[in-house]
Amino acid sequence: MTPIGLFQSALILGILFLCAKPLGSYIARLFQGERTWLHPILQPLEKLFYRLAGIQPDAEMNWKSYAVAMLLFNGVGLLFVYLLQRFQVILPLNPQQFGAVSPDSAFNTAASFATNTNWQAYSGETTMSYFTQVTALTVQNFLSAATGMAVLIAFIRGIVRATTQTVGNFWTDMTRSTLYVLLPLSFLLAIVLVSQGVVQNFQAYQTSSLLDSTPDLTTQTLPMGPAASQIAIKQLGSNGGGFFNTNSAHPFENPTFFSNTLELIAILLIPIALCFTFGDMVGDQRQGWALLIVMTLIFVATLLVTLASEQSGNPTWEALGVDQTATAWQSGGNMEGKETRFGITSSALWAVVTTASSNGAVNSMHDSYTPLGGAMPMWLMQLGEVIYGGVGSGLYGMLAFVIVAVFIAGLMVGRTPEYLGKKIEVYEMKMASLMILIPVLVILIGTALVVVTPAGISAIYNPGAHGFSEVLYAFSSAGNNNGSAFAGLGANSPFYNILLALVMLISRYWLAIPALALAGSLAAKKRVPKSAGTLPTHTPLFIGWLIGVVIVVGALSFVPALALGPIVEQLILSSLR
Amino acid sequence: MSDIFFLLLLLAFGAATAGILHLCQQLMPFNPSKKELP
Repeated sequence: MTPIGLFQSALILGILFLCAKPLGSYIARLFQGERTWLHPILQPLEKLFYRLAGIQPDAEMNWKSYAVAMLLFNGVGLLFVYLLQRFQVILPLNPQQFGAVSPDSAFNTAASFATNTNWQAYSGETTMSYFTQVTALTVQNFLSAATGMAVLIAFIRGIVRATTQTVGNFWTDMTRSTLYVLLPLSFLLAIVLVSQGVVQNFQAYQTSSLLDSTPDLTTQTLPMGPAASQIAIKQLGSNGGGFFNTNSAHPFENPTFFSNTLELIAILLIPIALCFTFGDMVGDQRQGWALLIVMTLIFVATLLVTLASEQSGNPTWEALGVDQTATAWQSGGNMEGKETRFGITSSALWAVVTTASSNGAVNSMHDSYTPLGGAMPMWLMQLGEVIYGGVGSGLYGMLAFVIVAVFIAGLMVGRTPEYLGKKIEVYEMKMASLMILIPVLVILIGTALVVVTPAGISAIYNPGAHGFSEVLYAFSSAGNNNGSAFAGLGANSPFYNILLALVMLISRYWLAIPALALAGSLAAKKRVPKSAGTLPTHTPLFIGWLIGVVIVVGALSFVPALALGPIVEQLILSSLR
Repeated sequence: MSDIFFLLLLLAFGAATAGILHLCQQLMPFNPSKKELP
């Protein structure tokens, strides 16, 4: 950990908070039906879209109708992505003439992009036509992020409204999320990324002569394609699926330090802004701040551990006399698997940001991190992707933890728990428990299935604890809709493609349903006036309590599994010091 | 593995998801379709 590294991290967080506040207020105004400064430009488009699609924007839905609309829309989207991959060979914009994607890989990718996970068992530049990248994958980047935002907004309405059956209109929320939030931000970011060197064209791959050629190798094939437009939404929508195989480590996706910083900011911008949106919509900014502080404190703690661990380097190299200190001439630390143009801080910061936020884009290989440095990103995912989390899904996941925290606190003092004027009763606890336990269940069962089946074991390239870490990471990633990979696992097989696809589908939709049910239940309740027995949910005491609940649930669920992977690996490594 | 297999798999997941949706509604202490409020 270097002073400049700490300054860089603090600066990026500061910029994020400054930008997220106005964006959060803008999103709140948008979903409260108020006019925004973009309405004069975009409202005619919005109205035209409603007319063409036959949507009645003012028609309210109950939670079940909202959930059914969300599930059907996502199901059709998934099928569309699957079919486009299977038929890309006869579709246009395929200059490299890629064949049809295999059924199991196409299913995995369709599930992955529909669920906002963006786990990639394929390599973009050798598998997907431009048509598939644009009309299937980029479109799903927008729609899956908009789905997350829509479910969150319905959840917030459930808290805000009283004695009503309705939580909003899914189609309106989807349209507004996409048209007023995701599209304008993505357009701006894509333009800036192009200025930095991110490719954006439909040309066939180029062949160039190598400056430092060998007798056997004189040319290199450079992949092309409409990358910038996909990269922009992949970061803003907490999607993370790379246009190219090496994701944000590829110079055509993330060419410069400036593009890296911008993309880092883009990853966390909307999840942080939604905390301010929450505060605005519930009419008490302190509530949004409390959740943001909880997220930020856990984020900073894991960031510091990762930075320190990566900067301290590899103890076995120490014994060999390798100088791993940071100087003006070298970054020092553990540089294996990291781009030299980014160094330790920008890589470790990215690893923590991308796993805290359910993004999943990577600019370094997490498999090459020190065991402790790699454990932090894995643990952030295992906490349920609530430390900022995905667009919308992070905050509604955190609100499930809030409900559990409020309920336990209520039990401890012997009073009926309430949150923002709504009594938290048995049904709410059941739904919140489902939201917290389903990912835990699918991750641990999936990992267990892999390590007891020949098809699972045969794909593990590293033996021992590290191999186990790779499997646990893969299922933690899929089971929390993150999508990043530790690497080192041959996961492009029918066994893994099907298993991981099911894990992604379950953890996305079987959580969104209880979230919407919770919204419906809260919306139907009467508002309880504040009393002396009401637990304030914006105080430092509650912030500390909520951190405790999140960490205890995360620790109880995953420490036994982590002990078999990164913890034992770190202990072995430390013993060599 | 054929396209039919994955279509059936998707349908099976859809059916299970509909089951979860139904379960969440059944657990609810009031029935939204009857407009009963607690």
